[in-house]
Amino acid sequence: MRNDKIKLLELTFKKVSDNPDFFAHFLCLYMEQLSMSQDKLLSDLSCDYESYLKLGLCRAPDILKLDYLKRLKNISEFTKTDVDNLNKILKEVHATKKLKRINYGQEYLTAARDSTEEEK
Amino acid sequence: MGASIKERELHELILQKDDLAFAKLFDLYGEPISKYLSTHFSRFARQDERYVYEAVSDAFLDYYENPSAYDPDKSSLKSFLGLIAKRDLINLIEKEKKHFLRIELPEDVELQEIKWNNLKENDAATDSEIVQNELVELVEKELEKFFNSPIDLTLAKMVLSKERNTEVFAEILGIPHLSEDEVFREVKRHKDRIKKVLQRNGIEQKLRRIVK
Repeated sequence: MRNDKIKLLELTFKKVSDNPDFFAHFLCLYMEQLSMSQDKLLSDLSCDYESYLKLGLCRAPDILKLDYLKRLKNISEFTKTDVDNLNKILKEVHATKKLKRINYGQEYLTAARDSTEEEK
Repeated sequence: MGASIKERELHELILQKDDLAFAKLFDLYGEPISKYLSTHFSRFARQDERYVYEAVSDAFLDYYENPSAYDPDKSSLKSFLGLIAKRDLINLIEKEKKHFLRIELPEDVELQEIKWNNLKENDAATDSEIVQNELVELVEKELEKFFNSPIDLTLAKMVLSKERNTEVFAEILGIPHLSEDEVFREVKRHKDRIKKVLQRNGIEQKLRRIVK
């Protein structure tokens, strides 16, 4: 039976998973992008469930900042997770988000172009 | 009694938005505060322990989002968090009491959507359009807190409006060119995602309060 701590962590993990400040957001998107199960992610991160939930409550460092790797290492030590995989998760989700923004930009440009042509 | 040195350090880390601070805070006080509330509100906790977790989780998030509300010279951090959680739990209990005293209102998003529909359909029939518009504006503002992108905001309104036409969703998502199966899957995925946000953040309850 799950204890209070796990249930509380689970609920809070869910609550912050929509907030891109938190690691939970990136973990959820990563699993979604790769259609990956939680068990597989836990195995990749080499951590237990509680550590995974705690990881979700950590702030995700900005990959563009100079201290990014240092901060990631701190998180990895605190949550006892694999730092290389944390790095991979953040970078892959960032890359996908960026790609989506580019695609949206193209769609908006196309829409704008179409509407301009219609006006003519 | 003020905060201990350890608590002051943790509070400082929270103020600085340290990467680990929130997780450390949970590690330290999440379980003890839950236990404290479960003991003091044992009858309620026995009925549904989720309320206790909800109150504790909200208390920690409230503090994290507004840490300057806490004064380390006035009380310990644990007492402060316990107090907010207790207040939140009492509010939840009060709401539940009112809820059961009133007509059974829909709990799930699907049914709540009817409420939104009624709001729109009755628009022309109300005596004061201004009041109605203000109401819609309030609801929209509430939704904007949780949905950053215009697409998500539109999707949320559609979900709440009980829109069932997959093609309309596909248009908004910009995916009408995909195959029927793909469109169905994508639309379902987005609808589920929006519904999760609505449910996780208790938006249905908030909207219900506004509409009332």
